[in-house]
Parts: sequence; structure tokens; C-alpha cells
Amino acid sequence: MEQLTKAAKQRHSEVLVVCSNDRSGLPYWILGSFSETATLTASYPLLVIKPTSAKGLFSKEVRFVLSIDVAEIPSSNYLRWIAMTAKISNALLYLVYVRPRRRKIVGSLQSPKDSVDAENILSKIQSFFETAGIRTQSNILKESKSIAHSLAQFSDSRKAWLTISTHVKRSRVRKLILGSTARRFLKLTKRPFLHLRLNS
Amino acid sequence: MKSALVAIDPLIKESKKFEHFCEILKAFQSEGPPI
Repeated sequence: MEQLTKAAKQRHSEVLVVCSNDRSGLPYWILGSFSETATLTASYPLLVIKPTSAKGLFSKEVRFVLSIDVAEIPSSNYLRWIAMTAKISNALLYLVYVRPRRRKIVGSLQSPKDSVDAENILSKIQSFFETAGIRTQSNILKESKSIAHSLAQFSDSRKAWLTISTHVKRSRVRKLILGSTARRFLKLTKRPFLHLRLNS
Repeated sequence: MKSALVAIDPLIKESKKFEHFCEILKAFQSEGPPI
């Protein structure tokens, strides 16, 4: 991964594109998944493309889904990067927050910010994008099976070209117990997934 | 995006998966976000 990141930086590439092998079952457990490891470790914008037929996969207009965790609001350099990408693509940007179910055991590990006014935060992010001339729609979803499931269902329903998540710093304990939504999402989706981690 | 570095696993280069991957990249180039 380090080599690829270095090569991308040398070539002034804006994004690193990885073709997922989309392994499942035993091969997945034995060989692992490079795209999954890359998603969790890349220090560069990473686009994972699943080897799925493109026929009927995407909407006619370009649509992006941006997953937002209101407890960990992306910093302005992330928002600027996304705005620039949405602008050149003339994309409709869906801002999506999946409200987590309350869990007895891990509830104490969830940040108290989880209960903050999600509408208010989404509306602030929305006005940032609208000022930049991006068409947006904000959506608050209920968690179904998991946050990743709700997000994957939403992206499918909108036939999104990209589902974008931004890197969230979590403590080791929180990571171990809450896991990674990006990793779960990657397993569930058939759509291109852009994981954004920028060196600030 | 002006440029992107594409990493390809040599194991999938001869498979149907690679065809699908190229199909998606082409869709991006022609109708989708320019990558």
C-alpha cells in the first residue's frame, strides 16, 4: 500500500483506484481482501471498484452519496475535496446520516454527540455545499440491520455512482467493539466506494 | 479528477472480473464522474 501511495503522489494522482477481487467465503478467509486492507490503511483518496456489470448499475444523472457521522463531522478540507469532485461531475450529492440504534453494551462507547441535533449539523454541511454551487439533499435514515446495510440500501435505491465516506479517527477500543462501517459497507455494496483520508 | 492511479491485481487481469472493472471505468469516462 505504501508503494502505491508513493507512486500516486509522484504522479500527482488525485485518487488511487483499486479493482476489488470481490472474494467471498473460504477464499476470502484464506487470502483476505486487498481492497479492504487498502480502505482501512490508505492515506490517500481511495476508490474501490467492484467487478460488477455496469449495465443498469448507475443513474442517468451523476449522483453521489456522502455518508456523514454527525458525531465525527468531516473537516473543511474533506468537504472542499468532495465539493470539488461533485462540482466537476455536476453531481447531485445526497448527505446521509444513519441514526444508530441504541445498544446496551456499546452505548457507553458511542460518543455523546450521537444524540446531538443531526438535522442542524446536516443543514450546516448542506449550506457549505450549496454555497459551493452543489445540488444537495440531506437524508436521515434509521439503522436497519446495521449502519452499513442502511447506507448500501440507500445507495442502491439512488443508483449512486459513488458512495463516499471520510476517515474517522477512533480509539483502538472503540474500533475493536464498534468495528468499521467502511469495511462492512465494502463487503455489502456492488457500487464504487470512495474512502477519503487526507493528510491534514 | 484530472488523474488517477489504477492498481490492478495481475490475478484478475485475464478474468471476467477485469472486463467488468474496465466496463465501469469506461462508464465513468463517458457518462459519470470523470476519473
